[in-house]
Amino acid sequence: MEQLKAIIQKLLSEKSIIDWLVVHAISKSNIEIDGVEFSFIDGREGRDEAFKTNQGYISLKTSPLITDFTRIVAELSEEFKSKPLALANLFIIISRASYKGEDKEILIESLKKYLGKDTCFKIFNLLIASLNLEYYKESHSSKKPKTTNDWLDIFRSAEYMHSFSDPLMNCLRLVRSERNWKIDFEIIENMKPLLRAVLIGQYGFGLNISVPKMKLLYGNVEELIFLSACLIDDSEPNKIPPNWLKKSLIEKFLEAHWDTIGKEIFVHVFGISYRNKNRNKLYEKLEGLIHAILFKKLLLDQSETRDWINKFEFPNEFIAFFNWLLSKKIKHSSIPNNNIAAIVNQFINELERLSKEIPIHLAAENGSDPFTSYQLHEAKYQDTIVYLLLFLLYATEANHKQIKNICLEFKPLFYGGHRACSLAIHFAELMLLIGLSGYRLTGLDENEFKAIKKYLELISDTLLIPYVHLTERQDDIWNPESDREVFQFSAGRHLITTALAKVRKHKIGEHYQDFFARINETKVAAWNYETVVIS
Amino acid sequence: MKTYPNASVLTLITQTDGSNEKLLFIYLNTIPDFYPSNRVHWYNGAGKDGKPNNVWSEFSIKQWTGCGIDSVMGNLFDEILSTSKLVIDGKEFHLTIPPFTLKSNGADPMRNRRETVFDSLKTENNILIPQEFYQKENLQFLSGYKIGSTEIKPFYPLGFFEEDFIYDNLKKNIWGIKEYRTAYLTFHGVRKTSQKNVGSKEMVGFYQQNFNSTSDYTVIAKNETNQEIGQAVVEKKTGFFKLSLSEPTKRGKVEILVNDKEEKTIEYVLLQDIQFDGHIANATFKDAYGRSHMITADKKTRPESIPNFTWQQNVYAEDKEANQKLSDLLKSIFDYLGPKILVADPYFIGDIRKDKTTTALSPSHCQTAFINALTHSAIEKGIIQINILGYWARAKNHVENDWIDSYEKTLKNFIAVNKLQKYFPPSSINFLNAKEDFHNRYWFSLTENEGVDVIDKCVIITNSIGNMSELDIMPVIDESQLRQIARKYTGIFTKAEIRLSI
Repeated sequence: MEQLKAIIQKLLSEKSIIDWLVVHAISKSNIEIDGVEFSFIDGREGRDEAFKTNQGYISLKTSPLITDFTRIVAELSEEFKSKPLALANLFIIISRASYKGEDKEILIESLKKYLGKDTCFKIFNLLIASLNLEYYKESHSSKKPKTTNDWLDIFRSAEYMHSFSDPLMNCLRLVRSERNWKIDFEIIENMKPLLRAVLIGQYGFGLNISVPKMKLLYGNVEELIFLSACLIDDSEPNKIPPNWLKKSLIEKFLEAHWDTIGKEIFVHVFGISYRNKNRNKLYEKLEGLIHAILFKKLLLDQSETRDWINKFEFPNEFIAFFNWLLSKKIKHSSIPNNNIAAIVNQFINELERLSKEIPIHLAAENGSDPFTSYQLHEAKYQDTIVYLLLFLLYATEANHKQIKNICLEFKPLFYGGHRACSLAIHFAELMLLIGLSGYRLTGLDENEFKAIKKYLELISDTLLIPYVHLTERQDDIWNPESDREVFQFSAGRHLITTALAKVRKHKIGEHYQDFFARINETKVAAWNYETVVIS
Repeated sequence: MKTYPNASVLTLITQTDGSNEKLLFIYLNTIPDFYPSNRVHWYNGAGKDGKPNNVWSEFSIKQWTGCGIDSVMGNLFDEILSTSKLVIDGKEFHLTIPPFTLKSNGADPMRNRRETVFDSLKTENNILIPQEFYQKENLQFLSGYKIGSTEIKPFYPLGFFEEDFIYDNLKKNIWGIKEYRTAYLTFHGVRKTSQKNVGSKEMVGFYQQNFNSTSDYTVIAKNETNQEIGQAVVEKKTGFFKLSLSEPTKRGKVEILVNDKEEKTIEYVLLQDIQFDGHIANATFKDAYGRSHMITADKKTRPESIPNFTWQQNVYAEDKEANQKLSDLLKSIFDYLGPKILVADPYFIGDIRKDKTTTALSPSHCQTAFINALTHSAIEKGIIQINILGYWARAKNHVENDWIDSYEKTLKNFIAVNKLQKYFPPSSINFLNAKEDFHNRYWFSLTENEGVDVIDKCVIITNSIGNMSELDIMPVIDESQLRQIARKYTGIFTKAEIRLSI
């Protein structure tokens, strides 16, 4: 064993960098000791290894060898006490030792005891600084996260970083003895995104943050983005809110960082997101806090509120917004008129933006659907459509003109090829569904019926003829014997025929007479809304 | 007033040559819209006031687009060719037009499966067309399917041409197309009364036409030997018709007569949606090839390994035998990998053939084998979920644009008709589109580890479902190879976007 000590001693004094493959260097000395073996799995290079190749193991087969090795570690620790780099490499060697009783971490524990807390932290920081550069550098390059969703993407990408005897987890053993899944913020503070993501996304650690630390973090945008992702990532049913989740933090997210954090957590909590399908205590608390802050804001007749509304994007943020109103029973009549007008304007501006982006969607290789029509079957999307009609009842003459122009932008897509036509159909279905939601509104007065009529007239003058002509070629429209099964791709068409049938049977139907007449002027088939039985 | 579509869009692409414009391409297309006036409307920025859409300034390539009533635009098309002049708002543009031959598509222009019939203008060795205009990529920029060029602007209306429409026509020396509006006819056999391997005894259809109230519209079905096997009236109020046939049919033609004069004829092969005899009675499952399989508890155990295997279609005397063997082979893979499976194949499960008239979908022999194998394995061993991961940017050259619709329709119909909901509950079949390219085909098993799907077993498949004539399968046993493949594909899988969930 003295020979082994001499080799390690020499390596530790010579190494000027942290060498994660130091065990390879030891084995290259061709040392042979009974009961001590080196193994490197298959030694081949692979992207699934943190350093491209396995770090290797030193196996100690007998108890006397373990005792001897513990002694050597103590002696070397003493010898290199003032050389943190050598100690870091010594730690790597220890972390690669395989022996009976390894689960009790005898070697690491004795090293920690010997070095003391401060030195352990110093070595840990050195090791993390090295891991920041070396860990999966061959296979993983992550950009600097700029939004909550960027962080969530990195979490997802790290979820499969499985590695036996992960060097990152080994390093944690230097600075923490707890066996729970909570980790102090200070420990991860100097880690680059991938290392943090492995701990949060892959191993599922939660964060402990002290009050003074939290105060400091409030002023650090990058860390706030990270914290928001840590909260949103916890969508499992048994998750509970961490003690650092305070109203002031959410306020910071929503008020100071809407573009990078606020809107994304708003959508994850209230909009269409798989993360809010399971309800848990954490999400309940997030809902409550977001509601308290935004409710106050929405009711204030002030330009800041309208600046905030002017940032809403369609469809995601509008879906979140209206489902927030719905879930918290916020009456639209309680919203100041100026803010209502801002919401109407912003929706129309968003349609305008999407119309300007048509070239991007047409050229998108993977086929692109700016209206996310594949989500139309979601109740949250359908409720959003009803709210859109409700708010469009407040539309001005100028708004109507703008809507008409947007419809005229989309209309020529009906004349084109398959992709162009799909975009036109998605748009037309959205606009038609809005107009046909009248039967879900109650308490409308004459002026509001007029507003619905006006809106339907716009659609009739622009999109209706090509939509009706192309749509009635589908079996489920013309064929009275069709199975009429609802498919994801035909959800829009199905919702429209159902809405037509419901409007027809509803007392509001009399206000839709002109619209039905316009359909009749174009259609050939007996549309199923005329025959379908509504339950 | 009836507002039945009556409009056409005419577009010309020209290149300035001195004081003349060389005509590079001309296209008249009927559109699903109504136009109220006899005047031609030239679009703003694409012809209005004689100002063209300067799509490619460097080569002086321009576009002119107008809209109007079908007949007006048809006459304008002819006039442009006969006078070699384009006149807009009093401004005259002289066109250089190559000598050409006009070809109507088919001896009888009304015999066509499309809604429209068309004339094409053809010139061998057309010297007017510049080299740049022959290049596929340039045409993709012009047609709007590629963006980001600083020099090329897209044609108006955006997406007017299908992606390679101009390119494909130029390859055939065609530079002009004039489409005529005809009524739209679609029909299909009634599935409920269809007999397997024999055909349909009833047919329903839709004739979308601006019906003349004083004329009578009749539909006649004929069999392969041109004998009438059914006749019915097209209901003018709805365009609907239903034919009772004197004999079951799979192949023949449907004719529409107006006051006994033929207006439209379509020859058809009724592609039958795959059907299983389906019912699982007395614990027996009858598969797509007519074989009965007992379902017993002792068959629930999954195989722990599978051998390497090679399948070649032409080794078998009969197609049916070959397909059965393929299906059994695929089933053994599903049995081995199940109950949670990931199929990674850039081409998904290939293109499902669709008849343009009847829109009936007809899976190929290996798609049927795949579905049969999946069903058999689901019934016998259980399948919780199968994820099919493809890469659209690669698949799009082989699979139709509406692949999601076709997959959804085929599989949902299949499950519904054969009452297999118990074995394929909602969300048990998912199609995912990868965000990054991959090439190889691997089928994996997924196991759940702390709520996360992890790749466990892997089988290498050498060919894609869709058009298979031979296939090698090799399970990956080497641990390090498996881990390497698994790492790459879990990454691709987790980042992929679910496009369809059945």
